[in-house]
Amino acid sequence: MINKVKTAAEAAKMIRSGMHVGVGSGMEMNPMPVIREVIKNGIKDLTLTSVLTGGYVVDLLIGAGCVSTVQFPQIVMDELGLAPNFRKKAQEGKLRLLETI
Amino acid sequence: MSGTEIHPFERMIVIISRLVNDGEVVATGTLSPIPAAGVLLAKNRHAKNILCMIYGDPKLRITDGLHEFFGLAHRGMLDLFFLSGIQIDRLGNINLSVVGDYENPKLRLPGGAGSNMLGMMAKRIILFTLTHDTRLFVPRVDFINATAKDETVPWRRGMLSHIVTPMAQLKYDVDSGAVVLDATLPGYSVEDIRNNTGFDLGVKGRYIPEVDPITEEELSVLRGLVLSELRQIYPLFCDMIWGS
Repeated sequence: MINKVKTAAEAAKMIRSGMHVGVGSGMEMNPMPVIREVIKNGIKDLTLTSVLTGGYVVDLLIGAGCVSTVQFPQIVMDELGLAPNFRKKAQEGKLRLLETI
Repeated sequence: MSGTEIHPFERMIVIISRLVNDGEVVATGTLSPIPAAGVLLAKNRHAKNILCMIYGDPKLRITDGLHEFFGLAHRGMLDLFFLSGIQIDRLGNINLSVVGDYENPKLRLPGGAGSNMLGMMAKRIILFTLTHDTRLFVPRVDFINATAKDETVPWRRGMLSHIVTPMAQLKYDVDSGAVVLDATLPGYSVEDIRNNTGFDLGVKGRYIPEVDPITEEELSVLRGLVLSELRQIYPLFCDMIWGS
């Protein structure tokens, strides 16, 4: 059997700038250790697809400047309110939106 | 909230619960504590045979999550769903995406999250709003996420039924294809509601009743059984209305 176990840092190395990345999001089951590594690695220009609604992972990656295009049906922090980074960058025109209504 | 004082949201919850029919398959989506409470109240009172799926409910067991829930709607198994909007217009269109120009928005909002599909595929839609003013009820929405009932699509399963706000119960009038005032909520006159709505509510020549009074029994079920269930799903909302 090939050992497929990787550390979060090793997994994050597979994500490079310019890639199209899908992330299970909403406000539960977010892969936070990997996301932190992606941000630390200074990854840019991602196309990010949230599966299904985007929550804090999507907002964090957008806020950290990792994302140029986001594909989404909704980005919101559920009960905690609007996603501030998404809102700010979208209002500033700094984010390309592929929105499913 | 306790005693005889009634929070405006409690009133809305009760009004919504009365609009739920027994036997319906009902679902509520993201950021929908008021409909969730209304559905739970209905289930604990007159609508014991409803099947309710409340987004965020830890007890909800659908094996494939929202995909499965969306699939149920596609197949015509969803009777009632709740939506809201940052803008709602006379035709019953809702906007959940942007205020202002889409490319250069004044305000970017979360987005529709399948509201378009659900608006077409659920048999009935009830809209709820946390406020009632002319910024929300506008002549024409800036962006359409979902329509009430439009003739331009070849087929849709259902349409808008009612809108519940802190001031009023509105309904979708199929004949005029527009939203009209159905009943006032306690404390608000028809005139108050007209002044806070940015379009004509079709009240001319019609008698507009006030909703039936909220009963002690409705309130006690809401503040008892329903509240303990709702705290598992919307803890912050419950703390805000009823304290921790």
